[in-house]
Amino acid sequence: MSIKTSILSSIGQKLLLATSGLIMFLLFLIPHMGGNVLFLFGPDMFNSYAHHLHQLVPIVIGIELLMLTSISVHMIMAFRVVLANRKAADKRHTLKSSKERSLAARLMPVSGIMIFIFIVKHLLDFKFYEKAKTTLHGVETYDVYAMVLSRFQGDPVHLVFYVLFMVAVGFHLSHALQSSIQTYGIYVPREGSKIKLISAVVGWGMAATFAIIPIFAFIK
Amino acid sequence: MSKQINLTLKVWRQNRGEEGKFETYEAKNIDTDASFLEMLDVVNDELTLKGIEPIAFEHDCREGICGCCGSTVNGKTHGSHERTTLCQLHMRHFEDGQNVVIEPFRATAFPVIKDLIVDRSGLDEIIAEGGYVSVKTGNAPEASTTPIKKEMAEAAMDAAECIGCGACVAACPNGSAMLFTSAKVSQYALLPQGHPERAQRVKNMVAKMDELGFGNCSNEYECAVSCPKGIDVKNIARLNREFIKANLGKN
Amino acid sequence: MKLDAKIPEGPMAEKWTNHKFKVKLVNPANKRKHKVIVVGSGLAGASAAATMSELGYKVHCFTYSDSPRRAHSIAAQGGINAAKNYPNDGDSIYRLFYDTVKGGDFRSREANVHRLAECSNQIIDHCVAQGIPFAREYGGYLDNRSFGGAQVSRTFYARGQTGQQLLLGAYGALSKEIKKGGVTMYTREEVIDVVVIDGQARGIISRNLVTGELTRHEADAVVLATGGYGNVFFLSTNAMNCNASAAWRAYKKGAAFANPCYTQIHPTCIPVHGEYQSKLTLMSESLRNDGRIWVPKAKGDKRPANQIPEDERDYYLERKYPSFGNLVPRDLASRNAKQVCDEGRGVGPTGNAVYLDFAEAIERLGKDAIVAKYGNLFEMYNRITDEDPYTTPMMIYPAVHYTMGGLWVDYNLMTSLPGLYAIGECNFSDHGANRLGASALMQGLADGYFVIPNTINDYLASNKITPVGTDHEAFAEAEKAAQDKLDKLLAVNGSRTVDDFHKELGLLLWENCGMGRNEKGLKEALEKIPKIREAFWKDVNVPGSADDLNQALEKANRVADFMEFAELMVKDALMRAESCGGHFREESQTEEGEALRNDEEFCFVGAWEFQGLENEPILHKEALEFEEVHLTQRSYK
Repeated sequence: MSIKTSILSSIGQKLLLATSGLIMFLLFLIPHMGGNVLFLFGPDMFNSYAHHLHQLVPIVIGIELLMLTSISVHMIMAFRVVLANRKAADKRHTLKSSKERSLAARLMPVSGIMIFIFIVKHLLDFKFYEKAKTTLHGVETYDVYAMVLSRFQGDPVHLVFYVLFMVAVGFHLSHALQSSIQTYGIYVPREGSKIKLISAVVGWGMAATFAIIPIFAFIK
Repeated sequence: MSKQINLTLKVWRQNRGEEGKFETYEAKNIDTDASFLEMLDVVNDELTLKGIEPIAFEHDCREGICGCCGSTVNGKTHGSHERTTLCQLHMRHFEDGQNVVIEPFRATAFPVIKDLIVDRSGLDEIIAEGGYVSVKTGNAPEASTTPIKKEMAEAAMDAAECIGCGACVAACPNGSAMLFTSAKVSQYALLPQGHPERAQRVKNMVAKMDELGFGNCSNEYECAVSCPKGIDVKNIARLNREFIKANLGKN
Repeated sequence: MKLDAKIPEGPMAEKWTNHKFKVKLVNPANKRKHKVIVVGSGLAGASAAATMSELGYKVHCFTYSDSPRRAHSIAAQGGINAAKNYPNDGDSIYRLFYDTVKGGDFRSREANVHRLAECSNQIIDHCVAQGIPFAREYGGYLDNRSFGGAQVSRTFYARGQTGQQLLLGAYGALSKEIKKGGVTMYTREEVIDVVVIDGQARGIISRNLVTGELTRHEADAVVLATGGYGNVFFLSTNAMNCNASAAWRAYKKGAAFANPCYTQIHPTCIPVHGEYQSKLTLMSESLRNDGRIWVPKAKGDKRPANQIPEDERDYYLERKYPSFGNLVPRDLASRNAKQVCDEGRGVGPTGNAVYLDFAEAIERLGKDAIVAKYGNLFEMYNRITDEDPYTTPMMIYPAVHYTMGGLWVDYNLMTSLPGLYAIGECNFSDHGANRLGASALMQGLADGYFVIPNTINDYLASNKITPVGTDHEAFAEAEKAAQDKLDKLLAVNGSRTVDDFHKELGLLLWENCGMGRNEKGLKEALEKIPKIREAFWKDVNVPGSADDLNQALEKANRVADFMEFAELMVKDALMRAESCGGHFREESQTEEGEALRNDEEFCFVGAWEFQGLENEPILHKEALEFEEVHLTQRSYK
């Protein structure tokens, strides 16, 4: 078996899927969440964070490229895996009840597509959007705090959209985390698994944390 | 105490090279001490005498060890009882008047041959890629030369209990044979006798599994709950580990 | 026909070694020119096919199952014997040999049995090397347990699934050779005739069970590894598809059939519970290590087991056979169970059952220890009967389990038809009139891994075997006969199912040729069998067609052969007017009701030669000589 066939084998593809997902989780989602939380501590804190981030441009671009690669790999592999699975289970049972499949597992392709749509929308909302400027400690910088506020205040549709898509993130992560661990060969037991529990807590916790920002902005 | 019950069966009927469909039959006066396959025997006897061709279903030992039998009963492989093959499922678990839907084990890699009989030869092909230790008769050293930790022997036996019925494939939403393949890979990964061929075994068996059109594992564990022998997903984790190690040249 | 057992010269312990040196060899380059057909892929068939392929022969292996791994060897639970003497309890090759000859009630061939005992240790070595997860002790070394008929612990086991693990090992070896191209595997193919040309077995006719197509296969030698004929009784512990057809066809083509009356009735099976019952389930003999067998002392005592006080229980095996107790050989355990039930002391709804009680063992060892040892068996029992054997004693009754009789073979395992071999349960050779527990796996693997690969060369090297081609008229005739028979079965279109006839035949045999046999009953059976057979051919209903997957037709074709075979079995039982092992003639018993052998008249192998269905078969007697183990009345007291 050559390296190429190993990579494109069922397990190889799953490993790529898991790895690209984990890269996004560790290098993007976690820092992003950390940054977002600062929103709750007021404009100075949040704008300062944004300002510092902008000073790290080479690193940010590097990470952005890595994210672009990861998301591409993740989507290509997900697409291949799902397609192969559809083909392998083409002949469905007329009646099939399952005891074990979680809703999260079942919804992986759907939640994945939702997250992709969300990312596009999110980038349009905040990244590729004309930003106002403000002055922070005598330095001119973008007023991202105001931008976020303006996005959500008085716009319940927007709010609902964001919160709803965070639910997709919760579902996706709660299965993805434990599943990737099993794919790496670390046993995740069927019943009473701590890893499963932690996955769910981290996944839903993260989704909730992200969801707090728009809610906070809306109420404020 | 046993009693008699009546059931309405909806059974998948399919001839070679034709499309299949469900037919409805009545199963009358079935003793609750009878096994599911004995119930089918009774129905088949009646069909035969009515001039209808009996339902074809695979079976042999009727002790739950040969792995021949298996159908999806009311949406569950081998029926509703955990850790049970269809031949060991008894009618006392059914209610009088119940509807019972009986389908073959469905997966793309398991084409239907007739009625409830499917072609599971893919599983043999996976084994042929390395589900053994390549020792020729006559090569073996004295049996007690290599002590093996009891825990390892037990864990290997846990994996080796697989009967190759294919329920895991049918239960998997992706028609994957990972549980089956992992059981064999695990048995030999746990025992020193399997170590010389370890890397090539896992690579070849996985490649064959993919080639035959079995799906990917999405870690949803339907396979493990449907396994009549309780083969655990621990083995799938081990298979993944073995695969990674083999490709990193660590075996 | 003249039967020559070809027992090698020399002292018992050296016969096999000498023989291996003396037989002719086929040189490595010539081996690939020889094609060998192996029919059956159980322990014997798979191991023989794999090993012969390793040696270089071109092997074609046939099974009616969808995979070689389904063979009924897989259901053997308890274990496999070997004379390793790991427990240091005085075992040796000689003792295993001795126990097996004695256990077989002096009706087996000493030289074969000694070879079996010699091979036993190699089997364990080989199986361990194959990665079979035998039970081990905490030190990492192999564990042993004891089994009936022996006073040493020499049984190796893998939980309650030893047969499964050994078969999967042999299946692995077979798969390895299939992958390498040495073995061509035919699955879902049933061999329905043997083709004989110029007095040599030269091929087979096989039916594809999916398409119904009949095909001809030529070979230089044919090895039958098709198991036993226990299913002639309809209810047995054999798998549903086990049949005697290939062996019976071979008999009709000239191979002698030996000792067909030797059937083993296993003492620990789950009792029959209803009309609809399709088969019986065995509970491993290993249960007798810790379970105590008893019935109430009083007749017709219908109280639940736990309400019968200790002093009103009869632990009849412990009482009658103090030194072996519950671990007497199978034939004795079965016969005694029948005896107490016949006396009206049987338990359960039918009165045809005895208790196998673990209460004392659970108290002595703790429930956990019992779970670890027998958990899966208890679970199986619970699943079938819906009763909990941890709290209520199991109910057991004997059932047909194994057949010691089979095709007659010489020391090389060749039948009296040159070029045709029979291995495993299919032959008659090693177990005499009664097989000891954990010896079937041993014999199947000894024959397949070690014996036939070392004896088939003698025939191939010393005979001129010229290609004949499957166009030969013998192939055409055999194929036509097979087709005619199938067509005839389909054409009857009667009013009774195949199973209905099979049950009728089976019940007759169970009553008249089962655990107890007498002249009157046997004669009655001999009168009835032809009538059942006749009715079968007039009134059986086989739906469907011959060119499709047709399970009713497969069954009918096998049952048609059982209808003929049954007659030979009963004839043999009638001829053998002595009791030995599993064959208990009520006329021949001691005052205490124990089996009484008659060595003066019956110390021989009874091998029958076919003379056409209408004529009486000819009985050939192969005299049994005992050089090592002296003929004595067996005692387990």
